[in-house]
Amino acid sequence: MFDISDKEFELLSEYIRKNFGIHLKKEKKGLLIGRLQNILIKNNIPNFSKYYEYLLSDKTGEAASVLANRITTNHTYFMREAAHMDYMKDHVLPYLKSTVEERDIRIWSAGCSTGEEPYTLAMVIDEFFGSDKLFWDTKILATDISDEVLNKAKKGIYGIEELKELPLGWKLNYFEPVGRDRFEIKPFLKDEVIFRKFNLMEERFFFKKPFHVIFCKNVMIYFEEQTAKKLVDKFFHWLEPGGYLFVGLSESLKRASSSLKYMEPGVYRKE
Amino acid sequence: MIMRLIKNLKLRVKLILTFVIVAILMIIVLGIGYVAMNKTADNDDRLYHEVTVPLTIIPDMLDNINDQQQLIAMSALADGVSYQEVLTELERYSLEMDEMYAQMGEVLTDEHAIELWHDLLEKYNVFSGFKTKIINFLKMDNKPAVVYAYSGAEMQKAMEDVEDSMEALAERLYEMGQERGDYNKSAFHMWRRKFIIVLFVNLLIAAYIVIVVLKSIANPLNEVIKAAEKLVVGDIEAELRWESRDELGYLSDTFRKIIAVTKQQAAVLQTLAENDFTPDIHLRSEKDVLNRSLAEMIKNSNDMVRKIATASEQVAVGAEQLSAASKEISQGAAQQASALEQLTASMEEISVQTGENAENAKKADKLAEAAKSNADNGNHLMQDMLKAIEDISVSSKNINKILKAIDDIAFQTNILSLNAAVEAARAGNYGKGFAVVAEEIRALAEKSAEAAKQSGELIENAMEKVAHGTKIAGETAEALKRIVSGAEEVASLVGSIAAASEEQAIGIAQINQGISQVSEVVQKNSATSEEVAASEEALRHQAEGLKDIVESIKFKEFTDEKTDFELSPEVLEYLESIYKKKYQTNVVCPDEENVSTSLVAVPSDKEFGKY
Ligand SMILES: C[S@@+](CC[C@H](N)C(=O)[O-])C[C@H]1O[C@@H](n2cnc3c(N)ncnc32)[C@H](O)[C@@H]1O
Repeated sequence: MFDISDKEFELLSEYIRKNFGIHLKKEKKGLLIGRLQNILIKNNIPNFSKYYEYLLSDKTGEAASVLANRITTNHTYFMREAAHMDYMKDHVLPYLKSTVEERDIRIWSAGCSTGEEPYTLAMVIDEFFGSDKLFWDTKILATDISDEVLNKAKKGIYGIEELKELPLGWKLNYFEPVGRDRFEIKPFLKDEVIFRKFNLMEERFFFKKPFHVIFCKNVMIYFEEQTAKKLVDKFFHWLEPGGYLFVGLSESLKRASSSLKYMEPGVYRKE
Repeated sequence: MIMRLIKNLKLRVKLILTFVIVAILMIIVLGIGYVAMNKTADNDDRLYHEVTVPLTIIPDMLDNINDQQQLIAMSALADGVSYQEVLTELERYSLEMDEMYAQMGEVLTDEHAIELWHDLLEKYNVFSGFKTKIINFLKMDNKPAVVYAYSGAEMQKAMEDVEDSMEALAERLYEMGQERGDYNKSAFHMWRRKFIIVLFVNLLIAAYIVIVVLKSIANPLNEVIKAAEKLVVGDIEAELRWESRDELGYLSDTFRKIIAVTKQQAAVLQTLAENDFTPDIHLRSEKDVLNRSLAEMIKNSNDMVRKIATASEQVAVGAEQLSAASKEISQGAAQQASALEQLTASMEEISVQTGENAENAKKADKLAEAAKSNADNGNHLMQDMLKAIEDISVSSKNINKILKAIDDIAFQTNILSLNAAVEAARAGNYGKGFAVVAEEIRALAEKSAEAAKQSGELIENAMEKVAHGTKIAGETAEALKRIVSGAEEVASLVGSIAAASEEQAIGIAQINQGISQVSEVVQKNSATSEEVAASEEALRHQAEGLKDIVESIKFKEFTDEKTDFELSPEVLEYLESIYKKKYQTNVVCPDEENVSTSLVAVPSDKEFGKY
């Protein structure tokens, strides 16, 4: 078992905070050790100071990438926070359908983890539009910092256990079995989601157009308030007027700092 | 002064008084009008009676006298006129004349006219005298006398006098009429002026009074209306300065009270707005609905806030405990995961090592086998070697013999060379060259002897070594024999190790599979609990925020009995159970620094499709 000194922990957590936004409090020492020790073992690194040096000296970005893979918490599942999916279906999509020009709806799932969230969204959208879907471009942008989860997301293969929240019809419509107890998202639905690596700590965002809807759920719970605020400001900037921002049900924006209108738990709207 | 007086009168009195005064003023105006009209009517009456009436009589009188004259003339000049008829006619005219005269006498008031009237009577009487004479002549039917008398100058004069007198009277009457008319006109003008003046003055007075009264009503009303309008739009800074002892003063006072009360209520609401629910409300009367509702609202708010406060406190405590608990859990899970991961790592290592072991064992087996055959080989070679050493020993002895022979030859050569040297010396100069050669040969012989000696020594040495070698080789052969048997044993042992290692490797692989399954679960568990801890933390912040908000509200401690807010027993039990574990949360946040995101270590993708 590796040990980490206060100094080492400070250096590493500062690095992580700066680069990934994730804020590790002192009590997360154990977590840090647990998640990183294998990297040390695999790379034959004797201690965390050496690891930190290695991290800084590595110019390929590989080390940082691996760190991102390890340090992020990627918990997610299909139909998570179903209230928000209902809200999409009952309020957001009807609004977008009647107002959006050029039939181009832009939705961003920021911090998509292993893809359950954007795929669930794609299913909601598919069901909502039905046969009209043909005439609409509703491709979802799904981003994450960890390429490990992105790879899993792109593969779109999930265990039977992971599908249990989904209605039977959806399981039939959107999945096909591959091997024992494993199911793969059907190609047409996979095509509805564009997976990309994107670091939310990026100083400036460069997108072609603002979004109608941004999902950034259970990502900012790992961030410091200051970091989260900055990010929310950026989201606000990249929202169309009348666009929606979804955060996790347990999250709340300090609304004084942003001009987003509270709609219901976890749902905010740019006026 | 009047203003003050009017101001303080009761509204009803004020209005009645105004009405009465205006009425009186109107009556005065009407009275004047009435008097003026009466006067004018009087004057017209007098004009009529004193002038018009006598004036209408005079033409009748003139007609009468003319008729009488004609009658008399007719009786004098025409024939066949019955004097009887004339007499009755004259009689009738006379009576008529008397009547008219008397009538005239009744209406005449003017002295001069009366004088003229008397004069007329005199003249008429003269005429009547002549008339009587003529009547007498007629009675006597003395026509010529009648004619005479009638056409007599005196008679004519009397008649003319009567007419003149009548005309004089008429003239006088005309004159009077004129005077009377003038008088009447001026009187009328005077009254009209009086009337207009009074009317005007009264109107002014009435207007003044009405205006004053209206003002005394309208001013306070306007002030009240203005204040009311301000109140309506919510401006409670309305001011009302009117003061008087009438109803309007009372109205203003009341309104001032309303403003004061509204201000009070506003202050109360302001306090409420500042989240202070402690103000006391006093009912102003039994029917004070507003304050009653306000008090009720405050009481309810207090109750509610107290409930919320209790609840939020409990929620905050609960959230803190939950958050502490989930932190603990997540830490546990993280440790679990980390331990498992470590275990996996070690297991991997072990499995690698077992694999290596098996491999090594196999290798060792092979090596042992090889060693055995090598040892066998060695043994054979050893025998060969021993034989070879023997051969060497024999050869060495032979060499020794040869060396002896060489030594002998060298000795003889030496002697020969000495002899040669002597012979050379004897030969003198000619033998010089030969002497050199002889010397050379001697040296060579010496060297040969030396070398032979050394070789002999070496051979001696070698012989010794060979003896030693033979001994060692014997021992080695012995050892090799032992090695062979040992290697045999090793080979069999290593064989069984290899088999065991193989079995072990399979077992470890199975264990590894199990561990990685467990690890996956634990990993997921750790992620889940991490997530739960993080969102619980977020919730805890919100609960704390709620508590802070509620704490910023001031409220009364207790207003009635049952305000205790009850959490459901399950929740309480749960909180209790957590509490018992006495988690202590000591969250240390590192100082906030400005996050400088210069260049993030994990670069994002560059291309986002339609995005
Ligand atoms: C807990 S998951 C949330 C998944 C999904 N949104 C949900 O609510 O189920 C958080 C994700 O945010 C990602 N993340 C954390 N920091 C990030 C950053 N700086 N940039 C992009 N993604 C980040 C992590 O990789 C992780 O997959």
